[in-house]
Amino acid sequence: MSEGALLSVRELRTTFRRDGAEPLTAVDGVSFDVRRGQALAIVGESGSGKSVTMRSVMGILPRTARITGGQALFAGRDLLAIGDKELRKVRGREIAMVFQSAMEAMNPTLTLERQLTEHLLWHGICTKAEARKRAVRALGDVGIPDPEKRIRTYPFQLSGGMRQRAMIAMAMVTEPALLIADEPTTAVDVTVQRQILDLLAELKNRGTGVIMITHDLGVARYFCDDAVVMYAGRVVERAPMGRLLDDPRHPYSVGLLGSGVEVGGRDLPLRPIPGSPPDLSHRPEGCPFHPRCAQAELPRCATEQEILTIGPGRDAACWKVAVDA
Amino acid sequence: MTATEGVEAVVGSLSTGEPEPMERGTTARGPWSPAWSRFRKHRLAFGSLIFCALLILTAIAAPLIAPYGYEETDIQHKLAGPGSPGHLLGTDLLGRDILSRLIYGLQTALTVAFGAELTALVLALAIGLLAGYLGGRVESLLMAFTDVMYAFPSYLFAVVMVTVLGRSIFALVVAIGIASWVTQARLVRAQVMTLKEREYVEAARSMGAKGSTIAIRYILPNAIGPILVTTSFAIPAAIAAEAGLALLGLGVQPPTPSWGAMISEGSRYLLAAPHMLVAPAVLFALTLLAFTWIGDGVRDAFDPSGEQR
Repeated sequence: MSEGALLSVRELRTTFRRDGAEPLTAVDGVSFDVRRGQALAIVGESGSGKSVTMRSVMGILPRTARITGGQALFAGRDLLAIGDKELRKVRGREIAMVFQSAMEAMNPTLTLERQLTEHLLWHGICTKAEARKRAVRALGDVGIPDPEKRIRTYPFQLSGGMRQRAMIAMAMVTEPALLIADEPTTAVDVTVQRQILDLLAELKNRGTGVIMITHDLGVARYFCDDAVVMYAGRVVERAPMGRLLDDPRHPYSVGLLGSGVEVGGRDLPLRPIPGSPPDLSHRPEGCPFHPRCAQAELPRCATEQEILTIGPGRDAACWKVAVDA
Repeated sequence: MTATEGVEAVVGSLSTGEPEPMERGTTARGPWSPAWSRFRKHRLAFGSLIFCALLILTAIAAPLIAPYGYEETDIQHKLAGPGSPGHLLGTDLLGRDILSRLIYGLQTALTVAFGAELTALVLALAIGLLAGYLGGRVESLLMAFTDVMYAFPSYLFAVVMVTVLGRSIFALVVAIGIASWVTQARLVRAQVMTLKEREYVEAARSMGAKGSTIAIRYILPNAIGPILVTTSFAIPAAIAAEAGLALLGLGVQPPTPSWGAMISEGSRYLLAAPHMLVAPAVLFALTLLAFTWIGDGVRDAFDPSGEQR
């Protein structure tokens, strides 16, 4: 599966230091691949470690976090090993990130022009005049009317939807090979959501690899080719998007699909997953989902379970799945 | 849908982008324009700003405005009362024109106050930014140092500094500046600590920004509001500190005039020549009030809902 991968993450482990306690493992042996022109959805509830995973790859973790193992191969280099100075050249230039809230993710004291051109200049990609042209073009590309004029405004002068699009323009202006979108549609209203997703889909069609971090399968299914379902810092299921929606295998994925309102528009009653995600400082033994799992069988589920390949491009971390298959 | 949104946006920009008289011709209103327009609506503060601007101009143009030099004595008219010919506010014990001495005293007061607060601000920004942004051991060290300074009585410190450095404007700037950077530094650090968790700082990192770029272009400008508020309150405090030190006999070396020294001298001849006390005391009080009102206005401008106080 890793052949031709743009980014290939293997066995990533990230821990957080805590005062007077054992370090907390937020990401525990996560692996996945993204190919050029493909979109991968990383799906999970808040606290499942999906954002920490991508921040680990980007090297923008908070100070208390430490990557304790794994690899992230991007264009032949291990991003986790090249050091901050080298990684800084990759960030923004080859891998860009779109954040959840455009209101929050743009510096209120800089004009759009500044924010859209600064990183072009930091990375020495082009001259100031050329950067401005590129920025205007990027704003036009994301559907902001009158970009020549708009580029001189401050973020607070734009509507929420426009700000979100401006942020995508900001990420795209360097033409990165990989775009990471962290809940890009969570903070915008439904009409804007669709526009944002269309934009991301178009980028994908132009050959950009996209990783979409989301808790909403309804959004992810819109244009993602593959999905990785995370729970309590681990990958519980990996599958092509369509297969996951039609035939989820891990009980957690089944539960996640059952509790989503929008997914597929099927006339199924909502079946929320009982209980709540585990506190990572008291991670359950074995499969982290077993205390909430209706099909759990002790003691088998309280012992460690490797992720099992159950079909082409499909893995799940549940022994029952392997037995069924 | 895109079209309607576009129209809305254009309409929106027409109404919000309406140029303020101040900035006609610019399409973008700066990020501070809401604060500025709130400040202007605060009449007392805006009036005070005009008054203080006049004071500053007067101080700069002192040699042109003052009718006499501050050392010039008119031996014929010692202790002349206010309104006497040639001396609008009268003269002092040595026959020096009080109005002229007030104007030069203003120069001393403002030089010391602004110089001291500038020193304090530079120190506070450097230490607060470093501590807040770098964190870890650097932060512990810098903040331990700040706390030690905080525990030290600042007035006593100023007295020691003036004694060591001698009675000059420079010594006062250093003494008052060093005495007042501490609270500022703590504020800057607290600001930096909250701002560095903001998503736009993370976004800047994700775009490949260097640490120094983030600190200076992403964190500092967004911390300006509260820093400006404390600085505007620190200026009248510094004016008062200068006068206070002068009252103790630790002000600038005579004959350079200082309001504090004039008040101190005037109080000794209160019955014989009350104008020697009244003139500097009134001007001193007005100046302090005006600067404090500016501070009020600045605070309200940056914190319109009164959340912080």
